[in-house]
Amino acid sequence: MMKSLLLALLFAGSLFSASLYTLDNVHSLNIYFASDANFLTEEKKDELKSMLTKKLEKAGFVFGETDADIFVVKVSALEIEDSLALHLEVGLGEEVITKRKGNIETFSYTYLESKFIEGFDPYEDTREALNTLVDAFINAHKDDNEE
Amino acid sequence: MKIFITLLMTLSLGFAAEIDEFASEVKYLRDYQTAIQTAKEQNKMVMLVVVGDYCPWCKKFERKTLKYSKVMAEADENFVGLVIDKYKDKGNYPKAFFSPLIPAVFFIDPATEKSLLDTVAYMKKDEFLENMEDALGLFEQKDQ
Repeated sequence: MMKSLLLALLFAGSLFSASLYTLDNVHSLNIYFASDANFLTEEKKDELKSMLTKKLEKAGFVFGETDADIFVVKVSALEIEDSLALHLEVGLGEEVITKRKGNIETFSYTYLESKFIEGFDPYEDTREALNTLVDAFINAHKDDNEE
Repeated sequence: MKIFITLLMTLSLGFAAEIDEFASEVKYLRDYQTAIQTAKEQNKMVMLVVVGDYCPWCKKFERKTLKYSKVMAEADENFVGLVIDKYKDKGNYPKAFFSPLIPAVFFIDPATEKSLLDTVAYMKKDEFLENMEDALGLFEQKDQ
């Protein structure tokens, strides 16, 4: 019984790491951080940007190269009565050739995940949620690039 | 006349749906009855893959799992591959394989046209290879 449960959990866990996007050969990134949230000062934004960059570098991504894919981080906040709703997005943007007639080139999100949460401690909640979103991106990338 | 036929073939290839392109790349059949007949002749199972053109997980399953060299080799050697679009091919395959969730794969015994093993949802290549092995085992057991 315990063995079956463990196996089921392992299987569910391994599926969870997969994303419907395909992240083969994504290596070089440029981070773009956008936020209209009042609680994020320029200093706090830099702090978050630096934290995410370090995390991604540790996972093997390279920053600062020419024509890198754009790693987009977006933080939006909306006050609803006494609560603060936070919408956090992590995406990968790149120039792609579509299958449309004429093989039209366009900028496109080739990875996009988001979280919608209530911010009790807005900065800490943002930090935690972005960490989770970037972990999911790293896992999905690892999953797609394993031999 | 030859030029006309060549032109027609080129044009029809140009208009081929992605599912036809995929089937051609991995050497799967597109017709259920042909697959059953071929499998009977070759004493193999039919590996029926049910997908949909609106389904991103199906595309990923095709790209990452079914096009993986080891999966392709295994499918070619031990199975008769068949890929159908859940809705567009409806009516051309038995209702039993009209899976509520896709991508779905049915390993079908051609003699009974019943599934010995089926999988639902996206599967990673190694997990899917294990399933192919399990299906083969069940098919061989049946013959003993």
